[in-house]
Amino acid sequence: MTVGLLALVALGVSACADKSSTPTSPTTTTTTTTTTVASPTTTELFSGRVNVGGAAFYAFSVVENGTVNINLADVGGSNVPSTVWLGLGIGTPSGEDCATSTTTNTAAGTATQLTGTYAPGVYCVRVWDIGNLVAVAAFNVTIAHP
Amino acid sequence: MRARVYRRIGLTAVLLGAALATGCDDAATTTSPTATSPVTELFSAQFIPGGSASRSFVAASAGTVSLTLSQLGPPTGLVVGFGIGIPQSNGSGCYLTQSVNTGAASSPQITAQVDAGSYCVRLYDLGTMTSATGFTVTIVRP
Amino acid sequence: MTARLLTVALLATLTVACGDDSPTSPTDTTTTTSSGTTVTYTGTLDVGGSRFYSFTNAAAGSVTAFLASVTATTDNRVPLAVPLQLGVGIPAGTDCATTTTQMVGPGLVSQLSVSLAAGVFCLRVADAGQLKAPVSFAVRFTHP
Repeated sequence: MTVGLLALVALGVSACADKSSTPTSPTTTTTTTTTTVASPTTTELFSGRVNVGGAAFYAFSVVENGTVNINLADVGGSNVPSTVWLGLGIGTPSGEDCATSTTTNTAAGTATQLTGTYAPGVYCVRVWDIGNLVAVAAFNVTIAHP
Repeated sequence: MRARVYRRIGLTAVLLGAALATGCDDAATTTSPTATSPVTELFSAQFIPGGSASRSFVAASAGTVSLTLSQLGPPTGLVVGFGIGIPQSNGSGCYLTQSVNTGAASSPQITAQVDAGSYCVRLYDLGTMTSATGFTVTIVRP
Repeated sequence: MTARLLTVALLATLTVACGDDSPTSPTDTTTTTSSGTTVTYTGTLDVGGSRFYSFTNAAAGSVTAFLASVTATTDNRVPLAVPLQLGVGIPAGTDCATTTTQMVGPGLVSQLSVSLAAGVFCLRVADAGQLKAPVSFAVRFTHP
């Protein structure tokens, strides 16, 4: 009987001494995650002007993970050749500008000059003079995004 | 003999239970907040005709800031611009929120409610100074 | 019999002392949180104009702002008491699409306070018809 009582006491002590769960052997689970890349469903037109040495930007929102296509469609103005090269970039609005993460120098054309896959969030397109302008340039940029 | 053993078991149980009860107590220990008194700073300097002088200070908590231009000149009777605002990012000046044109006085010319943060006091010539002028400002802040 | 009762009492004591790990409601707490990022946004504002400043919240939390200073562009020594419109929103196109706005005069205490999620937002300053000439402004705001 004494042994039995002591056994009960020991059981009570062990039950209270360690509050953490009894460890079990870990099992290995392999999970494969497939991220869907949505195609653009919205097209926005960014029409603006770039001063000599200046820049302009346009903010847009991506609602689901997917492809963003940016096209500098045309450039013009007095003393501005339509073939002039400008800077074109995608980034995140920051301060009074757009902090670009992807950039290219390009002339206007019909093909997409910048593309990428972007998670949901707020982004911006930036157009700037890379040193080729002698007068203010008007431009049109199309932004296709999910 | 047996009774003595059982008495010892019982006493041990009581002592052990009391010890465990104390060790399992997770009650938080609270402390009373400490009240802080207003802080007084003195700002003494000179500025030249057409110029200005400013000084930054920090309010440790929200509350009232009092600024007293307690000494100005010579010459006596001089009136200058006296204001409060927030420091410029490059530390070179003060974006003024409110200001008064005043001479030296013994009571605050400016009293303002502020959030915790950095602020500044600025004095500037109204166009009447003819020579470099010394001053003392008393800043009372949270 | 007595021994059995004492042993049961011992087991009961052990169970009660360590059985309840549920947290209790604090009676008096002082919470210290990170103050976030404080920005001093300055610029000039044309009559009828607006400007905005984009920022990124690293986490959900409060954005607070006050219009600290409005002065004439020709003389920044003299503060003006003219009210401007402060707003918070999301950058959209070439502007900031505000969801909260407030007409405020210069002051040194919070005039606008908004709870926002993590992400990109903007603070907008605008003339709502009060300006007769361009002004210089300074806004202080804090975000997570």
